Amino acid sequence: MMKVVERRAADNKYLHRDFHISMNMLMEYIYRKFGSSALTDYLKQFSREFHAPRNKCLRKENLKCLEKYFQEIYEKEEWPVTIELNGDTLVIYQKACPGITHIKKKGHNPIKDYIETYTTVYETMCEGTPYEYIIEGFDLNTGACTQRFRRRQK
Amino acid sequence: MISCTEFIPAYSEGFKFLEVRGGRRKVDEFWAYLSDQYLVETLKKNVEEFGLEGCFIYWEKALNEEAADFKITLDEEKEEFVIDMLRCPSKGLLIDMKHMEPYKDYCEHCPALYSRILTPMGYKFNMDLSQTDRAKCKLTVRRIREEEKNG
Repeated sequence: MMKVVERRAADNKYLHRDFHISMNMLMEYIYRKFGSSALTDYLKQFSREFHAPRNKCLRKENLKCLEKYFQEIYEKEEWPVTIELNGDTLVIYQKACPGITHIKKKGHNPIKDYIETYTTVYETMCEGTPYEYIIEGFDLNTGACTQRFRRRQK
Repeated sequence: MISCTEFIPAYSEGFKFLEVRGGRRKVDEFWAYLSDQYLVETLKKNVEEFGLEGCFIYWEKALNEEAADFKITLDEEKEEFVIDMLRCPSKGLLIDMKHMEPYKDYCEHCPALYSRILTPMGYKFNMDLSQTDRAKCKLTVRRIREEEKNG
């Protein structure tokens, strides 16, 4: 007997949630083998490379560009959040983190420094720009939090 | 947050990071770790339960979720499972991201992860990576017959 399945990329939506688990494993591995500061270094390296276009937007004081990025990324994740852009501040309210939620759902534990996927990644994204990143009330169990990108305080 | 849709560039940067810290050996060790931690629960479980069809079940789900351009074939008579990857979503994404340089041996993680599971289970695993610059590859898994085992 022969079974065949053929698909084109356009037939499906790109949403492989188990990548959250693989990401958690990669971070856990770096943490165990090289320590906490290495994990921070890795996330900084990732952010500098991956978020270079967003960093460029922020240098040009273009928060609209960041708003669009977050709207698209949460939409792709099919994750409900509230995003508000008011003047020089962009705020993202979430009741849970899609990564933490999926990792736990599949019976794994998020690494204890999981918050760094927010803090280190977005603080690095703001490097050399007029903006700073603040995270408030991060719930370690769910990832519920309020994220704020705002003009640096003098 | 690192979205699951952003994992591939994070993964590629992770390989680069590990290589700088500990050489290629550290990258290979991580692939072995990931295979043992993750694929044992997924691919291995499927193959233990369904034999070669377990490969079909595992990859049909994964490749659909990853929105790949692919053809998978299970030939029960030949005891062979084949993936013709016409456009790998991961490598394709890395090729398309002009502002990032992918890890030079990015595609080698696939044979490293999967052969570690399938070879000890009695399957011959092969990957043709000669066209990965176009995000194309071919994976073949074949049951090793008794006569082959005996030489």
